[in-house]
Amino acid sequence: MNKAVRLWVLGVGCAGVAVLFAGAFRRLPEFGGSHHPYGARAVAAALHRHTANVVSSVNFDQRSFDTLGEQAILFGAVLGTVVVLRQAKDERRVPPEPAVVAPTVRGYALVSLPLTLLVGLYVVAHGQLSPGGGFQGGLVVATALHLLYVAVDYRALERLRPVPVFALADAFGDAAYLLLGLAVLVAGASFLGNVLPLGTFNTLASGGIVPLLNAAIGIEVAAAAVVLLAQFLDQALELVPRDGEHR
Amino acid sequence: MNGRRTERGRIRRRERPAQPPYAQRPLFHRETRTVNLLPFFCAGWLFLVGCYALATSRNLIHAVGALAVCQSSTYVLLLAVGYRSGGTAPVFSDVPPGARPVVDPVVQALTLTDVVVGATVTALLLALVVQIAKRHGTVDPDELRELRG
Amino acid sequence: MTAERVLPLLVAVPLLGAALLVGAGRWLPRYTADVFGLLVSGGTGALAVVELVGARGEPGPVEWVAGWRPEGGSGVGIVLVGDGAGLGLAALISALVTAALVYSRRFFDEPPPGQAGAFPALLLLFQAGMCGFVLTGDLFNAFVFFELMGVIAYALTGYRVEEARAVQGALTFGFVNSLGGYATLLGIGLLYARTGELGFAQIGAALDAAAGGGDALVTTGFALVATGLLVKAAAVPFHFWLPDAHSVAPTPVCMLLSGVMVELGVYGIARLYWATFAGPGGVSAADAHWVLLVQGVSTAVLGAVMCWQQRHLKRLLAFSTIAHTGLFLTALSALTPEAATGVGVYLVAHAGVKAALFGCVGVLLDRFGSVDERELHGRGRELRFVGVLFALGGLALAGLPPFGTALGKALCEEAAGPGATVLFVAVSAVTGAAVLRTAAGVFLGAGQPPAGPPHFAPRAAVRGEGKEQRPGASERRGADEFGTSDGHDTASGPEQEGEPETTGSGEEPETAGPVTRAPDSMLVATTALLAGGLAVGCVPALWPHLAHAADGLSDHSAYLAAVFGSPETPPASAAPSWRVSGVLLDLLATLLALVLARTAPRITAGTRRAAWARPLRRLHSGHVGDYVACTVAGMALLGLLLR
Repeated sequence: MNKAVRLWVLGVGCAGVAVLFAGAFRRLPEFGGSHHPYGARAVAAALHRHTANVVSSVNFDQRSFDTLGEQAILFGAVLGTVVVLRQAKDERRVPPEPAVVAPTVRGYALVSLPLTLLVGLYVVAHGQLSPGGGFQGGLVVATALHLLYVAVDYRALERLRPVPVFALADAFGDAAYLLLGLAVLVAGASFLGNVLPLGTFNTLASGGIVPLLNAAIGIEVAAAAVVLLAQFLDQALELVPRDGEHR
Repeated sequence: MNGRRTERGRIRRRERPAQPPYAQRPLFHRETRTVNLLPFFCAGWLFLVGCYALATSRNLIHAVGALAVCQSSTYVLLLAVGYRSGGTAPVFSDVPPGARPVVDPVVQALTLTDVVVGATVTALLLALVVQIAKRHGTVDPDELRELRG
Repeated sequence: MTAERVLPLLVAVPLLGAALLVGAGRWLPRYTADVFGLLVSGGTGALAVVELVGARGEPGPVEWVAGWRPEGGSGVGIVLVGDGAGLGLAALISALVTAALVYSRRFFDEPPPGQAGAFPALLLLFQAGMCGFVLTGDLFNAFVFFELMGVIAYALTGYRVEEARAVQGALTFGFVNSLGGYATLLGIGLLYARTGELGFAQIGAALDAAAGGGDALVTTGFALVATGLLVKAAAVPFHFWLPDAHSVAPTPVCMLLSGVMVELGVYGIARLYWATFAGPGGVSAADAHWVLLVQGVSTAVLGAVMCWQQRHLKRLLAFSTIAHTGLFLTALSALTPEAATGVGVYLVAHAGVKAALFGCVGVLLDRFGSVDERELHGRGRELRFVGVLFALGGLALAGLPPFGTALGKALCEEAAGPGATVLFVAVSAVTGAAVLRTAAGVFLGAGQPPAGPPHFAPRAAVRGEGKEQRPGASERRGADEFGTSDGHDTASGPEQEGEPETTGSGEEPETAGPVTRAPDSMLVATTALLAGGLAVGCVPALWPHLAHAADGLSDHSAYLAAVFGSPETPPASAAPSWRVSGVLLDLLATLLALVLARTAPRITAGTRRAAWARPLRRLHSGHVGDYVACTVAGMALLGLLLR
């Protein structure tokens, strides 16, 4: 297909899809309407299970099987990236060069590193209470570690985050989610069932299984993001063609 | 707690006429209706413009971005579907249950799942683009013509 | 633990196995990792079979994950439905994954450093994704597992990163499939807006309760959700990713993609239609019939034509998969339980046969470093046993009784009517003939040998004018291109290049060095798969199970009743069996295939291809933009057909 033909096919297709969308959107219930049967049930169920953050209740209790698949996607994508970006036969590793960092940047990054780490852990721990949770907090934790790359250089980051350890933590978080589900099954309830004491509403120890699954996801996401970024950073900074010159 | 609200919802559903409400509503009679469709058309627009960018892209990294634009249409659609006028976040740590209407928490959970899926797919596709750049020496799809016929 | 409670394990066990393989990957020797993977995948399959046998004759276990069984009809949880179709497919998936793991015992001697378990772990994740997809009774959950399948499949396709083509095929696969997935999610959003539900059965019940019937919103929702499934099923014009992915994926991955993942798209369409849209508030049967028929016929014809044109063996088999998916969709368009039974028999037998054929090609690849029909001409004489397996596979594709493919084809013909019968005979004859032609050429040396030694035509000048090239890579690329011997290749510009074709020469063998004889693990897996395809047609004890699964799949109200907790047994249709007319048609197709294959070497051993098929070949340009444009046009077409 040359470019003109492709544009024609695309144009006709887009026009057709636009007509489809227009026909369907006009039939949608009014924007902002109050008819949300599933949403209303989810709110009631979350309150019943003493989980103040209803979104976390949906993710880690009511539809925890979705999250099971979701964390498997994350785990699989990280494994896939490790496989795709592995050191090929015609490549070799070179030590990354030390970098010169402006003192203000360094100072700022070093100050915000522990703060960011703290915020990340807070967001993970309070997933059942306030907006956030394992996914969001895990990413903040991973970001905190990478502030070291901004503050110092890649070699410092490599010393702080041994990738094999984080790969292990990634697998551990993934396995922990599954093992929690299996433990409930062995205890005689449904897989991933919320049979733990529900605690007092709006306190840290509330929601039953929700904080535990949240923590497992937090570990997995933080570790997965570190491993994932390490693959891309290695590509940019360490791997060169075997016969190529040092960049 | 919020039993009152669900109770009212149930009554309304029971009294519903034979025709569902959306069937009776005039389509374009009022101007507000057009305005109210804007979030949905925004989602449709994002999807189509993402497809256009993906199909005409001259750079695979740009194409991965275009795919992310397509995906963002699903966020907009889901969140628009779950919106409720005057609604606040479905989090009851600082709002007593039943005090205010909340938006649909289910679509928010779905969107969160969708975001994670999108991020991981993007990472994997970018990894493949890195390898393409190394193996083919180009990231222009016009120059990748090995798998044909 | 009851049968219901065990259902989530079919997903959780392979996931846990993958996590342990990755976690312990640094310390595990390769052998232990492989055996562990085998135990996990085989154990999951055994679990599925136990569940299937335990539910004999009944609608099967239904589990609300995390115990969210609804009170008063509407709940908040996700439901898993272990009916005959779901559990049966889970067993098939597990069997194929196990076979692929056995087959890959000698593969990839250089796993990523510290990751001895990476390949088995990816296969286990793939298994979990597919099992989740077939068991779930929730539309959004199906999307999640659809994406899990997709992500793992892209990574597996691009596994051989040293190959330039592998990463390109994987990326194309990723783009088109992800786009389809997002269309599905848009559809889910629309259906949620209308019904406020996410389960197949719950949405179906809500649609049925609203007396309006299927309006534009419902049909568009169906079209969008179906887009993703049809991309997975490789229906025209969503099919472009499939040949590209299959050409480059490692052989065990091809087995899984062609054997079962693509067919899950067909299953998804059937499940979606019958569970959700077959009621009075959904999509009318006439519309659904029309869509499936158009998609099915065009897919079958295109697949058969393109299959015949190929010389890259994996690509040839890939197009034959497209042709057969088209046949499945055509048969499904009858929308009867009998049609579903026929498709079920055909699909299961096809999985074994097609995976076995890929297994044979994998042996050729490892022995000769090529999967090119012309280059391999006559060189397979020493691999007599592989040749026999390959030829038997070709005959099975054409529909030789008593292979299960023949039984399935006969049942589908019966269900789909006389017009479709012509299509079934023609398409299975052509795809079978393409394989037989190759078998005769490669393993017997029949027909003319290719004219002259293939000369190198370094196309680097065409592709990468002025681009920096890595010396190590360009050497390999030059080798990639030999065999494109038409002499047009030196012309510049992509549109003026010669024959649009993918040769199969200069491939990297997947084992450490060229194998001197076919490894036993490969032969065992391949033979077992082919025997499986044979068993579907020869073991009558399997047939009532397949009919039962199809009855459950194709009954809207029975599915709703099972999910809502008042299971009813759908009226049982007759178990399939051989009929004289079907056998005769099967024999006719086999005969046609043999005649075609006999005349083929004279037609194709030369260098020129059929001119009339050239526009069609040009359409498969390998350009992501083209494929995306066709996908968008296909979405519009789908919507148009449903109006």
